[in-house]
Order: sequence, then structure tokens, then C-alpha cells
Amino acid sequence: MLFNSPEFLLFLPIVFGLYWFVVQKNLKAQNILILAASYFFYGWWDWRFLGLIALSTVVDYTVGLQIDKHTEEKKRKLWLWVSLLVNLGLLGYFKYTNFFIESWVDAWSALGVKMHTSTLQIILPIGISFYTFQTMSYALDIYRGQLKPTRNFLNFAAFVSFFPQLVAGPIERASRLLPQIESRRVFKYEEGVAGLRLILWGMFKKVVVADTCAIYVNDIFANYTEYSGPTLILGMVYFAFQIYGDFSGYSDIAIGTAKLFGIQLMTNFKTPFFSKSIPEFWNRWHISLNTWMNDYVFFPMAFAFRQRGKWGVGLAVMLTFLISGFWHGSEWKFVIWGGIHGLAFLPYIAMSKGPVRLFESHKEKHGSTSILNLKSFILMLIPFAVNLFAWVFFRAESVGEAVRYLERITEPTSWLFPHIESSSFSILAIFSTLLLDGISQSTRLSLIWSRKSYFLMRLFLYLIALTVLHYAWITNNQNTFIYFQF
Amino acid sequence: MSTTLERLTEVIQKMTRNSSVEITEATVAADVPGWDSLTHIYIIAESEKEFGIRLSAQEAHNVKSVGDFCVLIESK
Repeated sequence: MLFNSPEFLLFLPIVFGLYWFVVQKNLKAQNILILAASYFFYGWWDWRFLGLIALSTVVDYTVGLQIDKHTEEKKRKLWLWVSLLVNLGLLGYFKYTNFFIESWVDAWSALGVKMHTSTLQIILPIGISFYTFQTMSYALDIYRGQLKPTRNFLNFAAFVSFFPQLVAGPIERASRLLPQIESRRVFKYEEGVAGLRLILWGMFKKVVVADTCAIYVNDIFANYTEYSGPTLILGMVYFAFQIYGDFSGYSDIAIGTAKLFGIQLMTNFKTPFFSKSIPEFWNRWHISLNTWMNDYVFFPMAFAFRQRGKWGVGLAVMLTFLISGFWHGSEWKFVIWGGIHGLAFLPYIAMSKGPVRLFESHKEKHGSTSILNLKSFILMLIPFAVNLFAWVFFRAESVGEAVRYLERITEPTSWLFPHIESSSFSILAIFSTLLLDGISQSTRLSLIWSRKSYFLMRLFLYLIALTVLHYAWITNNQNTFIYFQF
Repeated sequence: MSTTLERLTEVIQKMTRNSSVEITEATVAADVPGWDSLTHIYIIAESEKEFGIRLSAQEAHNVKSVGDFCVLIESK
């Protein structure tokens, strides 16, 4: 079920009503409701997907108990491997089989050997990249002695399948979400309102910003040979806001929806375009995936390479980004995208005189980034520019196309080709995103959301947002979220 | 001959780039500014060199306080 669909608009109030007005006295019943609703929500796409998530659930529930039961290191590790092999196996099969087949064939044909294979018709089960990572982190945390397994299968299954975050994250840790599932939720009016506001804002970012930009992105990328250089650059900017609006919009809807059920999910985006460096950007974009990568991929590697100083850290960073790129999709263009970011990261490691904060969340206050001074503004352009460049690889059909796209910008003759006609609506949409994100940087201005005296102003803003949302919903096609393909 | 604690203190101060921070056996990472998980790796690496020992990932992860760390070092 898509968030921006009529069936979801029906589904949500029904589940909400049942949750708070029918089963609210009974925790077990509430969790059964979450589980049933989540499986319904997920099965709406394809009932066959349910078997896979059920498999991952059963395996990791069992693994968790087994690891905890044994004290012998060998047995514990063995069970951990069961989890890793099953989850990565599922992921590998559904997501990467064709990639491996094709790459294998390509490698041989480069040597002049022709091979006949047919790639398999494998449908990618939605959300698989997310829930397998979520369950693996459960097993890993138990193995590391950081978490005790749950003995309640119902709760665990609800944790894995919780519908707001099932399909495209945030990837939750058991230590954060499981305790919430296992304890009573109490309805708080302010949380409900905050949830609705997030859903509204998320919908706005998706339907108004992302889908509007998508119209131009699709046109420009499909016809890049016919447009001018400046248009191609504009296309890159449009894509930046498309993917930001799409993905952070989805995350906001997910987090807002969870709030309606009294559950707090982790923040996934912290106004990333206001970052002043690449490392900072990665602290603020897709936070749940990057902290996952930091804890389970980067950190073990950095530890293994610890005697090699900066070179070791650099290598660990590079490998982590390549893996992260690959996680996004079984195509070389995604790996290249990751690689570009890895390379962009290296200067920051080289420059530091000592230990560098990488994916660690900054302990400095986030809220006080001021763009009003020139230095800050220029610094913000750096990660933005790196992203614009890397995202061409993300969006283009292939590495080759991305290269041609970029080459075209550098051709002086292209600048004589026609520019695209873009609408002021799209520019306004982008501007409003930046404005609202900018406001959230200031604690003073953010009071608009909480102070009772600003109620009328909020109401006014909500009405405008709903009107614009309604208009955009009708004009744009109902597009799926980009991250559903991962 | 410096004690384990004194030598470890020097390592921590060096890796957190803070030569004035007070370290006692009760100190934990959260008490020391700059001691995040990446710095933790550097402290481990530097300690291994300083004391001529080798720690496993599990041991490194399980070190909770400076006191624990000293005990671990001395056991090697």
C-alpha cells in the first residue's frame, strides 16, 4: 500500500480507531492489531512477500534466543552466521542474482567468450533491504552482548513488520523499538498533533516538491542530448530536491504515522542540505542506514585496520561507501555513486590531525547553523555540489549515460541548445522546502509549532499546505516513492 | 616506572587531543570530550602499541570504564 493512496487514507483511520478505542486496554491485543495491520499493509503489494518477512522474523527470533542461550563463543558465532546467511541470502537472491549473472556474462564477453544465460524473472520484494537489515542488527546486538533477546514472538514479529517503517525505513534498532512495542502506549494529544503535522509535511514534500521536480528530471534526463548545458545543471538540482523530497517525505510520513500510535521512530533526516562538510552530510542524510553501516560495517573494518592509521580509516570508509552504494541497487551506477562519496570523504580524513568524527552524531548543537554568513553559505555549497555530481550516476540509466550527461555540460556548444521551460511552481516548491527546513534550524522560529498563541498562524499554514497538496495531487501522477525499489 | 593507569591516561589524553583531562579508574568514555567510538578504536590501537598487547573486537567493545581497561591490560 502506498502512503499517498486512497486505500491508505482509509486504512489508517480504521487501524487508529481500533488501536485507541477498541483494544487500547490490552497490550497484547494492540500488538496483534499492529501485526495484523502490518501484514495486511505489506501483503497489499503481493501476498507472496509475506512469506519472506515471516521467514526472516522466525529465523532471527530463534537466532536471538540461541545466541543468548550459549556461552561458548563458537556456538554463538555459528548462530549469528545463520542469521547473516539467511538474511543476506534472501537479499542476495532477490536483489542481486541478476546483477551477478549479468556481470559474469559481461566479464566473459570482454574476453571474447559468449555465454548464453537467461536472467531470472525475479521480482524484488518491497522493503527487503530494510527489514533484513533490521533483523540482522537484532542478532548482531545480542551477539555483542548489548541486547537481551525477547521471548515474546508476537512482539518480535510486530517489531519487524511495523507498517510505518516496514517498506523504506527508518531502519530501527531493537534497543529502541522493541521496548516500545513491549510496553503500554498512552495517547498524548500533542504527539498525535505532531504526528499529523509530520504526515502533512511529508506528503507535501513528496507530492508537491518531489513529484513536481520529477516531471522536469524525467524530461531532462530522457532528452539530455537536446537540452542546453544550464538545463542539465538545473536537472541535477531538480533531482536533488526530488530525491530529498521523496525520501525525507516518506520518512516523515513514517515517523508521523508511528507517532499516531504512540511510537517514536528515529529521525532519518536533519535538514541535510544545510551541512557544511561531507562527513556532516552523512550525519544528516538517511541517518538510520548510515548509523547501521557505521556500527556494523565501518566500525568492525576500522577496528581490523586499526594499526594502519589514516590509511586504515580511509580504506574502511571507502569500502563502507561502496557497500552502501551497492545496497541501493544491483547496478554499477550505484556503486560508482557510493565510490564518489567515499573519495569525497578522504580529504577530510587526511586533513585531520587526529581521530576524525565520521558517522558519529555531532555532540555540537545542530540547530544553530546560520546560513546568513557568507562563509557558512559557501561551505554548504561543497557537499551540495558533490551530491549533485554523484546523483547523476544515481539517476541516469547507466554509468555510460551518466558520463555522457556530465560530458555534455562541459561541451561549449551545448550551451547554445534550448533551455527547458520550468515553472515557477516548481521553484516555489523547492524554495518552500528550504525555507521550512531553514526555520527548523532556529529554535526561536521553531516555537511557531508549539506555542499556543501561534495556533491561528499554524492553522493558516496547514490550510495553505493542504490546498497546495490537493492541487499537486491532482496534477501530478501518483508516483511511488523512489526508495521502494531498494 | 609509571603505573598502567598513568600510561593509559597519557594515551587517552593524546588521542582525544586533550592533555588536561582528568582520568581516574572510574572514568568512562562519556565523561571525556572527544572520546567517541572512532576515538575508541584509536585508543585501543595506541594502547596495544604502548603495552605490547593485542585485544579482540569483543574485548574492545566490552571495555566500559578506564578501570576495566586497566584490569584488561594487566591480564594480558
